[in-house]
Amino acid sequence: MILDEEVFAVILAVSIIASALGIALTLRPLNPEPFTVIGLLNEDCRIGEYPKTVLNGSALKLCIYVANYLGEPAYLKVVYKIATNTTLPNTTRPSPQPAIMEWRLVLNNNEEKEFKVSVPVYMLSNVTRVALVFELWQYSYAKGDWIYTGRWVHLYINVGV
Amino acid sequence: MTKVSSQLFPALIVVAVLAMMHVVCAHAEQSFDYRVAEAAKRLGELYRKGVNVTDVVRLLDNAVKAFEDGNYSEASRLLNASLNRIAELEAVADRIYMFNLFTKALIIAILAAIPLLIYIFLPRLYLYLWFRSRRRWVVRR
Repeated sequence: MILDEEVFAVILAVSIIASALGIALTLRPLNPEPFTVIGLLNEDCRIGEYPKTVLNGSALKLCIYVANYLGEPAYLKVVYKIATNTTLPNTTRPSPQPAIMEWRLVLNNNEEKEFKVSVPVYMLSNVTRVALVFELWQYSYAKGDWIYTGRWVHLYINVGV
Repeated sequence: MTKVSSQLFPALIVVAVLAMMHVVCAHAEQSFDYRVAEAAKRLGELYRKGVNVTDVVRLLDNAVKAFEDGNYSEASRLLNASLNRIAELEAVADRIYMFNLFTKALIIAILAAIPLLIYIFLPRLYLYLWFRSRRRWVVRR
């Protein structure tokens, strides 16, 4: 059987589509949707089994997960605050509570890091159910200051006396 | 009054020294942050040119860790080492960028040529293989 014209056309069409797809993948932007990630894990760096109650003034061991998908290396910091349900951060505004601890890190693009932390937990003006808030900030070279990324995690916890 | 003043004066000096130390530390922290951010920005430019900056990022992260641990001399040493390494990479960044650009252009040219090569050579190749596989055939009436 000599190569049929229709079969040849199909092979040619498939090759054209594969070629166009390959070119599109080669020319695609490196990072079309830049974003950062922060996650809260338990002291074994696993999701779940978070402590529900701690003694007032005691230290709590947790694990923080941070990832950078901004398309370039970034200088980040995680800020720890204790808040109530009225002083939680949102995507545009960090919590108004003062920072208690912070951890800085430099992450490459597509890099993620987990690190264990020990944070103090205490009651806020006799409120026993507090939120442990971890906010992600990025240093802006242009502004010369830390900028809140709009990413945070929080864990509600009962503080016992 | 004089006795109170003599007791208050050293306390005021201590408070003033502590306040000055706080200001100096805050300034040093801001300055360090700015220098690290400047290094990160330069690393971003290198990264976009296709330079592998993983080792420098690790070095810079170690500098930040040393600073947080209060080991300022080590932090400064690591930061300077990072900046030196960045300067070295910047010197070859354009060459790497051109090489990556050339590689990408070559890949695109090869991919674009595939349909054309199939159009030109596939019928010939097919015919060649078709006749080759039947070269021992004998034509009978």
